[in-house]
Amino acid sequence: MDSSGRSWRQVAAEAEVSDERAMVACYLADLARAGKSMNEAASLLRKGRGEVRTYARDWGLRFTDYQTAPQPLQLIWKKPKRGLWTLEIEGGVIAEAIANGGLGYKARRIGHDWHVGSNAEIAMRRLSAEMERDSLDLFGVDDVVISMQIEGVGRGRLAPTEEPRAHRLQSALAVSQ
Amino acid sequence: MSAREVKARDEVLRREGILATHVRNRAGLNAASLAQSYALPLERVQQIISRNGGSCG
Repeated sequence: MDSSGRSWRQVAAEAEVSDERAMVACYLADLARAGKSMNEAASLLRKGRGEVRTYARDWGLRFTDYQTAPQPLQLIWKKPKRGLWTLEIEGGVIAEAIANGGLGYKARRIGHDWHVGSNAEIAMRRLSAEMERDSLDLFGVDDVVISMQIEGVGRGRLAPTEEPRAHRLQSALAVSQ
Repeated sequence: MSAREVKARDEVLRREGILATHVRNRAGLNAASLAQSYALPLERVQQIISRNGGSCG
């Protein structure tokens, strides 16, 4: 790791994150600066692309094969009828969530395993997190935002989870470099 | 062609258009997953990927 120990300690202190998270962020920042791709970085860290992408988004990192999209693909769970939620891409249903016989809800990508939850939102959130992690394989795009339509309120974001302190993290990393 | 068929065809074209935008110049794509997500035949997805400068992993 070419960022010195001092550097990640500074980042951890400044951003108020765990040492481990700061170390990974510094390491990724070094790789990005060295011109590595996100796939190379993921393989060096032995993490999935989805996990590295979360770091890139939170800490404002750009890789040769990844720059945060200003307009992510928006996917919205809708409730066509009681006990049923569906997620569509332009008219094709790709995922569904259904009432699980009085035991909450279960959600799945069509043709794949169910994710259960004590209510519809929890089941959809679990599935959405997995879909967001695999977004490149599933949608051909890195940046996707999956929400649910809530009557009278608008949209509730399910995945990815937003880092509320992203600005602070990015400043901490910039100062230390 | 019935109105229903026209609508279904338009929906397919829209999905193909979205897919084409997203896969442009992307390497290592998983055509089988994309075919499922976009509800399009695998062969068609492979064509869209290669025509838009992408490649399958």
